[in-house]
Amino acid sequence: MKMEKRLYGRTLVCYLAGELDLQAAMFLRQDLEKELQAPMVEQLLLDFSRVTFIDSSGLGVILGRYRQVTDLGKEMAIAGASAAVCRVLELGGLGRLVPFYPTVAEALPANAGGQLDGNDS
Amino acid sequence: MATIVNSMKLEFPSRAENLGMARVAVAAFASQLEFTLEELEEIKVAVSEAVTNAIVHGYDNRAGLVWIVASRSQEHLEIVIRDEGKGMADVERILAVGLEGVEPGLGFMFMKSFMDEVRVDSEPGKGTAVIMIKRARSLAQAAATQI
Repeated sequence: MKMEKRLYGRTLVCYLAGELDLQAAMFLRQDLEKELQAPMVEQLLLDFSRVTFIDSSGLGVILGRYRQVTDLGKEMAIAGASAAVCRVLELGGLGRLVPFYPTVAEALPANAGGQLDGNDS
Repeated sequence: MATIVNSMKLEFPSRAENLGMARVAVAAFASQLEFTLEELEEIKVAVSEAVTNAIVHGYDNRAGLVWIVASRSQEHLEIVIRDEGKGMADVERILAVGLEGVEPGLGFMFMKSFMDEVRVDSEPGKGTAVIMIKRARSLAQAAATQI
């Protein structure tokens, strides 16, 4: 499991890659918890386009961060999840809680202010 | 299950880094049946959940061994995932989908959603065995459509 982060305006995009299971869950929980505390972050966008596997341990981390985001008055969205990953997220109830987008570009707010793939529009 | 035509066994320490190996090994074995890619992904999730339960709940993240026996007939895959951890007193409660939001409940919900049959044999102090069966629907459906 790897994660790269980039801030677009007040949206923190976390690009997740690999398998999101028990082994990855602890690292991911701690890292995301810390990032969400930053005052300049108002939205958390999780890019799942390179996530190849997720189970309930991974889902538990995402649901936990949803609770944290809600408690902090912030927002969260998911982008790029494959059909297999999406199925686990939906079955676990995440689809009722946060919006899903096909890509990061489609999920970013128009006023995100950052650059995406060299295009700042 | 009908006549077993092949089987495999795995034994490994109850460490999280073995999860990937366990689910890939079982999925590779399962691919001897005509499961779709989606079904193989479902089997990987179910295996991951049962092994995670053994590591986290069976052994409380302490050292132990996990055993997997997978066997297949012409149409069915049976997977038995066993630990010798602390066991459970109330299997029915743990199996209940009603434990929404609690990770063990989610894990069993995925197992039940992705496999055709899930049974749990457990006894406090003696360990737990999760038995899961999945039928190769694609094969059965293909046969049905040819009739």
